[in-house]
Amino acid sequence: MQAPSTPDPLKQITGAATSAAPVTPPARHGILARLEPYLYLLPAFLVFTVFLALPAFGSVILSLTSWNGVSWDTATFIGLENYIDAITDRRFQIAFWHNIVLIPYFVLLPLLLGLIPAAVVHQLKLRGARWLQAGLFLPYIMPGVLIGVVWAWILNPIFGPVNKILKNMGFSPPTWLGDFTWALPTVGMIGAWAAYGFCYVIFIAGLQKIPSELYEAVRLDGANTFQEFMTVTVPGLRREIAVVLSVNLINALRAFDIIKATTDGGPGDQTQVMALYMINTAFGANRAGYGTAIAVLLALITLIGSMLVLRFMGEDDA
Amino acid sequence: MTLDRRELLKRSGMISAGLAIGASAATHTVAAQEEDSLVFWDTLNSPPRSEIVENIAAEFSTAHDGITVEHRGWTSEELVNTLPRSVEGDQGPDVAQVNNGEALTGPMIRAGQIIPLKDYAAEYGWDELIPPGLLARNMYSADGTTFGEGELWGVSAESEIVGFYYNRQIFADNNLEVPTTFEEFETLLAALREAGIEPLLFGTLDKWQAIHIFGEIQGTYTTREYLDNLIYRRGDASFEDQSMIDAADKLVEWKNNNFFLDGFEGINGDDATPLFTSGAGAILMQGSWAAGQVTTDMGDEAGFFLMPPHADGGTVLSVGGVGIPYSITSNAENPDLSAELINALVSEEAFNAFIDAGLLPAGEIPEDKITADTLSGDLYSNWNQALADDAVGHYLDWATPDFYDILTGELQKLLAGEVDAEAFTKALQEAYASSFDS
Amino acid sequence: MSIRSAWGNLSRSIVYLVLMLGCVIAIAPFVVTILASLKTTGELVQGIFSLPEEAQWKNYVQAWNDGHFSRFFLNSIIVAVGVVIPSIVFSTMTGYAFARFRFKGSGILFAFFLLGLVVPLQALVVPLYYLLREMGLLDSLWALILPQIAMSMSFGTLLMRQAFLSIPREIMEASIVDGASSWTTLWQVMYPLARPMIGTTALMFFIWTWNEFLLPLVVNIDPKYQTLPVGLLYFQQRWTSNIPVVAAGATIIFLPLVAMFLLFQRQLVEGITQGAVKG
Repeated sequence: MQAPSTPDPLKQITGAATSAAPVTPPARHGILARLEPYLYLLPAFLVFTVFLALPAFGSVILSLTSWNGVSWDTATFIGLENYIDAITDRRFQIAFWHNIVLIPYFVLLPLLLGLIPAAVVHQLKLRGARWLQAGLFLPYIMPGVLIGVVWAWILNPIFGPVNKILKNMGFSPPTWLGDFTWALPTVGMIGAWAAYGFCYVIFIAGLQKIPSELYEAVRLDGANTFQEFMTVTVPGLRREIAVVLSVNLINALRAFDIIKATTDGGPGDQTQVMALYMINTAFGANRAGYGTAIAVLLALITLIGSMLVLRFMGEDDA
Repeated sequence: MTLDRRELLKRSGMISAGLAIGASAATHTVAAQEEDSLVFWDTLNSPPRSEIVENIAAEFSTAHDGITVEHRGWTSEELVNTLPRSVEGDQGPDVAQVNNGEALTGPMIRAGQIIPLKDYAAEYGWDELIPPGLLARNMYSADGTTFGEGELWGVSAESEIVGFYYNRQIFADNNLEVPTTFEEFETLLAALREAGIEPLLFGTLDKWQAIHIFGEIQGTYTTREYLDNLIYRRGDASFEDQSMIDAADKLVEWKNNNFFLDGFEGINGDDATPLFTSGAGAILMQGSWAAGQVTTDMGDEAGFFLMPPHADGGTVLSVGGVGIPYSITSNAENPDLSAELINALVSEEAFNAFIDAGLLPAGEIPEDKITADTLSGDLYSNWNQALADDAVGHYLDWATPDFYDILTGELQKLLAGEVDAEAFTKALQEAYASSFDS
Repeated sequence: MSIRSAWGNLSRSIVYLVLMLGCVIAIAPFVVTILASLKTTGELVQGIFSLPEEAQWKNYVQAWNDGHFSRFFLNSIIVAVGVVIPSIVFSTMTGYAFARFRFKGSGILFAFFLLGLVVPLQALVVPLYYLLREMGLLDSLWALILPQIAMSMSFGTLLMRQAFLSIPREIMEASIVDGASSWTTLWQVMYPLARPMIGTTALMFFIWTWNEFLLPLVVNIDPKYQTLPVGLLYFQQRWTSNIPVVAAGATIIFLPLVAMFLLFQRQLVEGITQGAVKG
């Protein structure tokens, strides 16, 4: 699973400039003293600039060219043409749509599957659920490829257990990852499976931070369980929900590992997603400029998505 | 875990990290200096085929003492996707199997990523190994624009033909005989399904077998001239041809009649082979390259036949041709040595090694190697006949550089009922036609 | 027993059951895979939960040798350690710099370092590939280590700065008054106090690096320099029709992760939840 993106990087930036003033060392003059902070930053700065900032900048430049990735002199500047091509490219549109379709599976389903049991467990003050938490959390730390490989064989229509059980029960199940209608939802469910335990654990931890006085207060007002949930639990978990939404949204938009290990975009284009399409065009089809433009679009879409989530959750900040 | 343990873990981690990084850096630089090595990539990634080439590699290495010969087997799709940029990134092999036609050879020639083999061909006599009809598939004009003529760019160690392996026992138990006409084949498949036996086994999840099943059916409706014009891109053939439409319709018909393995869309092509050898079905559609595995698992309980023609006569072009040819990449450090390796891979010794494993090497099979009523006997006699009749067809994905993706995508849609035959051929033609513009 | 408490007990049991079901569903795929890895293909087709007649340990041998898993494992460890240690060291330094000093351009530099939070690997990987090609670093472990250190900088800087800011200022002031250099203060005073945060950060970096797939897939083609996730993919592609062997390969990968998880479970969960939420 990808790194969680930190909510509100913007707040952090403004925070850095104006919050608690750092300590100024006692009068130490000299160039060395003034250079000190910069020296601390130097090694990180070098690695970061060369291997992240530079390629990031390079992405923008590259996306404005047409290049087959062979030798530098074959690159030609074509402005925003790649972006226009991408937006009008039917295969990109399909890929984009598929990422959107994955959102309910990757984001909403795990949220509910994590939130509701967590709320119930917290309410009933169940103990001893610690080791259960371990099991639930496990899929989250596995590499996406592994999850894909494991599920691919389990869903194999001939060799895998799922269809065997279903057939024994008398059903005639589809071929899941090979089925035109079912492939994308199946991938979605695999993603939901990987994420729900993570959500549960985050919510359980968050719930413990909600002061019980709040619950008592609304109970005195005669609220029932559902009202308790809506007025105390959900707002109390605002930050956790924001985190869960952001992280899983990013996983939905940037989905790659699981798909590569299960369907590789197929059957047909049914599980094609933006990240996969990007790699195929940039390297497979030797269109480095076009592929990079798609990558930049992917980054922008992810950024907008994350900001929307934060905005949406921030609105509840009464 | 206590803080002390973590501290210890970290300290030792730091030391080992330092050592490890140092060591890996050292090995990397050492490896970079090592020039006496030959790397070759191909699609022979599982036994017994991989063993054959690895044995040849080992012998080559001993014969040229000091040189390490490294073999790496790939899936055909990953090889096509990785080879060009590996050459550019100087990460690539010296010798590689480069998929024919516009699938990969054409683009790589034009990008200067493989070298012409004209001189080596003259030196080693590679032009004489296979008949001209087959040799053409490894030829391109010097500038890489015209496929099927000009000079030699690759050398094949194997021949390929796609056909049908059948379980002799199941056939005998159900009073079935090898079909001699297409219609007989259909009756046979229906009878198998009636008897509750999986008729035709193959898998399309990893896409490539879709090309084969379609190609096999299309081969019964097509002509030599049309197919050659189409694949060699002579400009006057279109995918919106009656043979294509008929084939598409027939493919869907077969699927709807349940002639195919239940669940074929969800398994990979290579998954069907062990199903067949374990007796889970009657007939396996596969290429000659699978004969080794079938022989190992089933021996002569399996037989082989090619797609039969329609009852009203006409020829059948079976999907197949040359095995993916070996070419020399442009960043091969020692082209002469690379050429020698290629020669070893197509030597008589290699030829016999393939035959011993029940596989199909490049060229005609001598009579004395053909034993009746064996799997290899069936395979070789069918192959020789196809050669004689000039009935070896093509792989449709050679048509354009991205045709593999397009064709398999459309085929999966066709099989799922998402598009009909007309829309199918139209989509293919659009892609094919636009490839002439670039 | 009143109805209320009876209902209470019932609902407790139901919830426990649901939780257990959730847990079972989460780990069942792995358990089934382990089971499959010890069978032959024939046995696999027969029954799911049936035990194999004879545990096919050779599947593991095959994965380890033919599948080059020994190599992939070693590479994964080298890369993970090679990324985590410099990342922690560098983030500690940058976090400290931003937490302790006031200097010109600190706002911009901080924002610059946060760039990595916004830019996903997908947007970097294409030009990064060509950059590494120019540097001659393709097909090496450096191609994996250096970019991933860079990618850890944003999160690391953020977290470490946070960690240092939450240490009471008096402690740092005391050390300065004592005449200690900033460097000494950092490593002798601040660092030990921030250890919990550092520990969990290191753990997270380790897991992200271990699981990284796209980067090794693109920049390293030679299996000599490949890591476990990509190795698993190659392995699956090659042995596709021999599921028990693929299952063995998958097991080789997830067992160490499970072990790590059980060992560091608390830190891990704490780290991911706190670190993510605290932001």
